[in-house]
Amino acid sequence: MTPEEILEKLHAKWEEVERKATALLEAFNNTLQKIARFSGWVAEKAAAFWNNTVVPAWQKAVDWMSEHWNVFGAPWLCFGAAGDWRSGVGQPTSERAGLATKGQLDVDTTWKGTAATRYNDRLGEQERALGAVSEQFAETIAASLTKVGAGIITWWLGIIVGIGILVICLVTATGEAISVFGLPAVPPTVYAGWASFVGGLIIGTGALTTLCLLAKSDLAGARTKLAKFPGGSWPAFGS
Amino acid sequence: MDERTARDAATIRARGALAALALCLLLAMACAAFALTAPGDAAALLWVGAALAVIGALAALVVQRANRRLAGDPRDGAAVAGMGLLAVAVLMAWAVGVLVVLAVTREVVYTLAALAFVVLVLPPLVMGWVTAKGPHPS
Repeated sequence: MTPEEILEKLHAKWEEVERKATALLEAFNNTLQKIARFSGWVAEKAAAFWNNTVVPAWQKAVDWMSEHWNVFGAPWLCFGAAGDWRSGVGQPTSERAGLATKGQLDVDTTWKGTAATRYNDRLGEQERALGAVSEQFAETIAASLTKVGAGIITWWLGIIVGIGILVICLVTATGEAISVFGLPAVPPTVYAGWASFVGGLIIGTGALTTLCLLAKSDLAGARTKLAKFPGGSWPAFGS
Repeated sequence: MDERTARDAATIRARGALAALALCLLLAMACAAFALTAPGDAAALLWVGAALAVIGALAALVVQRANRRLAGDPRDGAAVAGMGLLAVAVLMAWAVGVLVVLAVTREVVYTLAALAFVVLVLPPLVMGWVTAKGPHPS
């Protein structure tokens, strides 16, 4: 199953949640009508619970989902970009860092004098700067992208679990609501479903936010530690 | 609560637990699919996630079996009492998963993500709680 297919399945599940919620509402209302025949106050209390607690919570969740539905993020792109930074930038520069050392060319040993000494001194700086492109930048950027990708997946898992448990609890509550004696079990089951949905959202969002903030902090750290780049720029070869 | 209603409710909860099992298996597959393409430490995290989801599926199976027993005998106290033990076992498995991620990656960031993986064992925990809550015959 590709990530796009998982996302599509998630869309379908959310639509199922909406259908199940409507079914639960109908089952609840039908049972209330039965109860109202012989015990009006029970029906009143149940209707108040439904209208004051369940419906507003449901509306909030629907609004939140419609706002965030299309900004899921694509972890596979983060992982792909991390790989590109390692293989396309980090690895080639790391390999070339070894070439910027003394002894690679005949001129390194045959060329003598003040200019040659200055040149040889600057070779080490070039080697360190080239090495830092891989260690300090490419690797940090790749690791940060990986963290953000993992955060997005964790967020998805939270959403999938939240929606999944909500569907299960709504179906279970609907089954319980069709019997007058089963009606008392409906609120705890519905509460459990909603608590899991909200919990899934909070846990997923919390994890995504934490991972993104830590990745941002790593990137900011890499930008400030410029010991291998004198004056914050690429070391000059000749001056 | 009369026995017939308790039996019907247990049957419905057994179906719910079966759905929780399917959800956990879906999560395990999703984690494994991402783990195959994720680099380094993220792959370790996601494999632990897949393992936790499988544990969640097994726990959901236990909840389903307990509800099947309750559907047969609504006064079976052991089936209800077992839900508490199941919750402890599942939470222990989650804690071990967090420690494994910490040991393998040695990174706080992935350990925090592993903490969020409690959602992977949430389906059996919720169904276990709903089962313990009842209705049971008085």
